[in-house]
Amino acid sequence: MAALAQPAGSPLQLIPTRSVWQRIWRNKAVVVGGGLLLLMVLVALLAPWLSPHDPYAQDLAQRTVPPVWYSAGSWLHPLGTDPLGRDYLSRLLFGARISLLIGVSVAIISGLIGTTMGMLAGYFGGKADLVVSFLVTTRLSMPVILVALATVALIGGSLWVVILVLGLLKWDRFAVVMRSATQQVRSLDYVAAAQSAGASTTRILLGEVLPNVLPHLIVVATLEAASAILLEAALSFLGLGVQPPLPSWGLMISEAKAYMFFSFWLIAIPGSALAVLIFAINLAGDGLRDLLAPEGRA
Amino acid sequence: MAHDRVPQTGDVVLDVRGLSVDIATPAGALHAVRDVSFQVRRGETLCIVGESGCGKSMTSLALMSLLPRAATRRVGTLALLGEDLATATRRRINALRGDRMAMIFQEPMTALNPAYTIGDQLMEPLRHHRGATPMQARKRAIELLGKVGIAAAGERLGQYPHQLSGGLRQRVMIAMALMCAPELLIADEPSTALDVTIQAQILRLLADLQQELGIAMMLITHDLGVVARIAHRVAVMYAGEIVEEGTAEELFASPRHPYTQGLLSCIPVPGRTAPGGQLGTIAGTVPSLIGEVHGCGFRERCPHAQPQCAQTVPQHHVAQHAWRCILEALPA
Repeated sequence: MAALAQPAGSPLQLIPTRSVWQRIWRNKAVVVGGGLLLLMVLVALLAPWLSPHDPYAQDLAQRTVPPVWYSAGSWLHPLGTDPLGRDYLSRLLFGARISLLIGVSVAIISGLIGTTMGMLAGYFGGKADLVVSFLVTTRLSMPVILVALATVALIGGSLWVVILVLGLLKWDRFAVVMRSATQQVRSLDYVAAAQSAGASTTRILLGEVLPNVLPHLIVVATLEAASAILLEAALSFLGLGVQPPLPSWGLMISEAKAYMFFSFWLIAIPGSALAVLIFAINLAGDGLRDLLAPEGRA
Repeated sequence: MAHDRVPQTGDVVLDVRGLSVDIATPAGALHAVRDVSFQVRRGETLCIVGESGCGKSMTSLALMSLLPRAATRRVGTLALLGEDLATATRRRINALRGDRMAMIFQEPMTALNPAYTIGDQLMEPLRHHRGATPMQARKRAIELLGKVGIAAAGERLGQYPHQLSGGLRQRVMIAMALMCAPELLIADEPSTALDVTIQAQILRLLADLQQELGIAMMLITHDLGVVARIAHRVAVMYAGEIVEEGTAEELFASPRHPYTQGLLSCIPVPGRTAPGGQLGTIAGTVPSLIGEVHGCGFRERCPHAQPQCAQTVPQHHVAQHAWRCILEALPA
């Protein structure tokens, strides 16, 4: 065997190797967004131990106590109490559980449906593509909030109904994005190379295509999780989502709307929590996409 | 054309008889490959040459059952080591692909999956087809990377495709194709996407590996220079047909088909082509292969065309040399 010419010197040293942690640290979006999100998840998980009071316990002697930074506030209720005298901080902490649960479950349910449909349509094309495109168009012609309202009004609202209804409605963006991403990957030589190496279709879809469309999937999943959280808040605000006395942030805003002009913080506190959570999810998703792009690996 | 490698022709590895590929287009069926027959023997390199669109890539894809959806394959015999591929199940084809027959693609930049390391991708065929343990597969991968001339193979295994140059990637592709020690290696323009110095290295490597391993290789190319360097036998394709086939020596020394002759006259030969002199050209363009095609596909561009060229063209044989033309010998 003839020795073949190799470039002089070790080519391996030319390639800088950075550890995964360094790459994460350099990506400020992931650091800030992920940090905030992690904090929220921890808070939600540890809510029973972090809360100063029972979120359901009413105390009519302590109604609408303002937060601690008002002159009438006290450290007994750092974020005040609602008009039923329930501790607002405790309700906020337990509310984070509901928002995160909704965001994650809806993203998983709709992600499974949409990714399957999109990948099948993108990979097989032809009739599969026609069917999926028709389903997506049909789904897009129905406004989510309207269908969700009708369903919830019909079978009654509860946390699980909201999750299921949103999960079964929000797969459209997954399907559209996965379809075009799969079409792109499918035409690349490595798919043909995998076929020529004897890989089955299932193997190609899961082993070759999925890892390369994963960055798109993660971005869509974060956007959808954020939008599901907002939708839940909207549904709860309209009284058709999570039912009282569960401390959903949307429900807290809804319950506070009558006091908007006298106790502004009743709306501002859950509203800000919602905004910060959505911001953190979107930021983390955006940063993850950059981090996960195969070309970014070193 | 001197040829230093003597083919040690062994058993027939690939036997193709009457292969046709039709592609459905809005304008009608495009007959991309028309009734093509050839054999590749163990220890032999068959080059299929032809210009773009002559059906050479479609032929290689048809052999691997990798045709695009719009294309349909019809074939009399398609046998790999005596096993019929035309009627084999999809599962059986998958078991043979990558194991007994392997393919190297034209574009090394996209033929490796960016999501996996070189090592994962190299070890995959051996683990999938032979159930090799990670250790065994790793050993074989390092051995083959060494064979294809990649230094520091152990470290390369952990790298991703984007960290390698085009030439290195093509070497990795070659190593990957050889992992299961296939009987037949199909290389579809393996050097076209690389720059000229790397092209020479890759071709040299393929020729050396073919000799060393004694496998049957089918090389698809449009570059006659490549053919002259590594082919044992050559099949010239034009408009979906093999118009001439023979050993490399015979074909370059005495081309029998006007198209082959025209192709060879396009290449400058040191010593024979006068400085400043005109190179040969072939007038006209490739005919459309959509709809009914009959007679010799080259007749509209051929200097020796006769009215009977529009009818069925006879095939001539002299020893191993075969050509399709109404003329038995070209006029001097």
